[in-house]
Amino acid sequence: MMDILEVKNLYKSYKNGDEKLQIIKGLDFSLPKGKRMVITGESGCGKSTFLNIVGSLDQCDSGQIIVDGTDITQLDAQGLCQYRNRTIGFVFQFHYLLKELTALENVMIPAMVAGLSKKEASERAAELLESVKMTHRKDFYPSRLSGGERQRVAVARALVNNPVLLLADEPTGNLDQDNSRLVEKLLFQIVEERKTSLILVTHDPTIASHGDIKVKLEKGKFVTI
Amino acid sequence: MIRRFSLFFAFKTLFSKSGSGALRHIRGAIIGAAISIIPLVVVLEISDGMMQGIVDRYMEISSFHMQVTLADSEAVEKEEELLEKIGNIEGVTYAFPYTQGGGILYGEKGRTGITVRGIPDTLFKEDEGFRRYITVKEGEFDLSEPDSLIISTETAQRLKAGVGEEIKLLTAKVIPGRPMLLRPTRFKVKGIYSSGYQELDMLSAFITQEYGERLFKDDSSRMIGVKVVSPHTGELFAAADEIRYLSDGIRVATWDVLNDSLVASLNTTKKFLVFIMILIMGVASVNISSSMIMMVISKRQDIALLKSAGASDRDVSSIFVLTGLFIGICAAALGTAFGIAAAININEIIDFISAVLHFDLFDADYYLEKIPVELSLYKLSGAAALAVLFAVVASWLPARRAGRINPVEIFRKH
Repeated sequence: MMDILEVKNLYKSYKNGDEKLQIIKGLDFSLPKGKRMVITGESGCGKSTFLNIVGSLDQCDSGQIIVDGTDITQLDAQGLCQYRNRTIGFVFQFHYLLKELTALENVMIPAMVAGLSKKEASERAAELLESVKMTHRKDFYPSRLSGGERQRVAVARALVNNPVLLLADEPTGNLDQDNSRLVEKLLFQIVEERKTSLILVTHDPTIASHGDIKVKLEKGKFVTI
Repeated sequence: MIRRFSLFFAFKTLFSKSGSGALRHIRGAIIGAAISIIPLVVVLEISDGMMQGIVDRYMEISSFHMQVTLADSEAVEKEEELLEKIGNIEGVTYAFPYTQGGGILYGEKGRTGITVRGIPDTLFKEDEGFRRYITVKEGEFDLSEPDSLIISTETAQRLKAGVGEEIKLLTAKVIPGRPMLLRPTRFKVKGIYSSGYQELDMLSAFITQEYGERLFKDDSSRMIGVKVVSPHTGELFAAADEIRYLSDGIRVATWDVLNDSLVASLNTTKKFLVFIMILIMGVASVNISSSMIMMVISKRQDIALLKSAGASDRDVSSIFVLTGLFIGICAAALGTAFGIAAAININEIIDFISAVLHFDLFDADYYLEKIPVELSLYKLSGAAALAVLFAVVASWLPARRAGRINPVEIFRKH
């Protein structure tokens, strides 16, 4: 099976005053297409940093990150924008829905950034909202949605451009148990249906159990669980 | 290039029905910028009107559209023939002989220096331009009697004289090699007028052409006044050129040359005022910048999300530049509308302020009694465009900052 993600000899450190904190130390791994990878680890071990690097929001010190055949460490600013827009999708712990936009319009954002017309983006967003069972709330502003509903809209937004890789950073971290289960169920169901690869960072052992590949980030390296 | 996405987002951000639209952040900036445009619009409209009003008065009743000086005695002899030829030139409406000289008007109660013009008694009736700016306040504009004198209200006040009273004009006659001869001449005040511009009125009195010729005998005092249909167009200069070719012994000066120091002084004042008003707009645009910075700060999470969704630095900056453009357009529309309203009602506004403060806001000696307003679409568009430009420039820096926001830092802080 072809790999959707290949990480080679990845290093990342942060400066904390005079001290250099080595967060990721020579990470090597690959994720086959369509697989779901779950990353666990202690707080501050670098899970989110790893996702940000793979999502090109952050830069590594050295190493290679090949996503769907493209080494993203070699891309220029414009190439990285296109990569974030078309190749990957982000779901954060906080929903980050824009409060001036309705649920539908929020889901439309990545599609419009990709250059789709308002009509096309709207059709695609409506389809995704149906997948996360939010059609009845599509014209609601975020202030009128519950926490779980907001996160479902955020999931739809992450998938509107049909990314090959979905990066989810503790997507249920801010939700109660019932909503957590619902979002978790929808998330795994949608990635399954769309054959989207998933890298999910979580502290929740129930969610972690759904991963095809389960790793723990420890001392800057993955340890298979 | 601004992408459709940036337009969509800027529009949604400003006009969201969610109750959290960004319009509230920039409302103050719009109002501030709009207020800053009002003085510029008013100055542009009023200064043009004022200039036009003052210059028109000078050229209709003082310098006339053209002044033809008869430079030698030969030319003076041909005056009648010359008048006829000038009158036949295309565009010329009226040509008349007149004399001009200085003197001192004095009566029992006062005296004042004056420029006296001896004009044909038909000028007031036949020249529409002259008549337009002469408002007879007392008596009549009647020069049918040889000793008739028409003075302005300002002169009448200085002399404390009224219609029917006797006034003397002291003129000097210079004969080479002999002492200067001062000669008093009696006149009877037949009319008191006002042109609406006291500085001009203070200096002008009218007597009959016949008396003028008697008092100011030297050739340099004798002139031909010419009026044309359109004194502000090339028609004036075409007519002036034709007159120059009529005879060798004449000199032709158009109103813009005769009043060049006045026009230059008014233009300089206008430019200085416009410059100050533009500075005010510039200062007000700092307010736009501050509002935009506040807006960028409040939208950092949204910016981070947009970037994670693939929006480029330029896309994000465009959203805020578009917001600046929107502020500029709104401010320009509001400011121009209020500016026009203020300019149209400027006389009432000045009267009201003067009444409230119990003193004349503007000294009528140096301003027209009623300020004329000259609406120029071209200049108003320029002022509006400048306001929009200032707003866009003011939003440029905050927009650039917005584009440079690092999403990771925002997500990490959150």
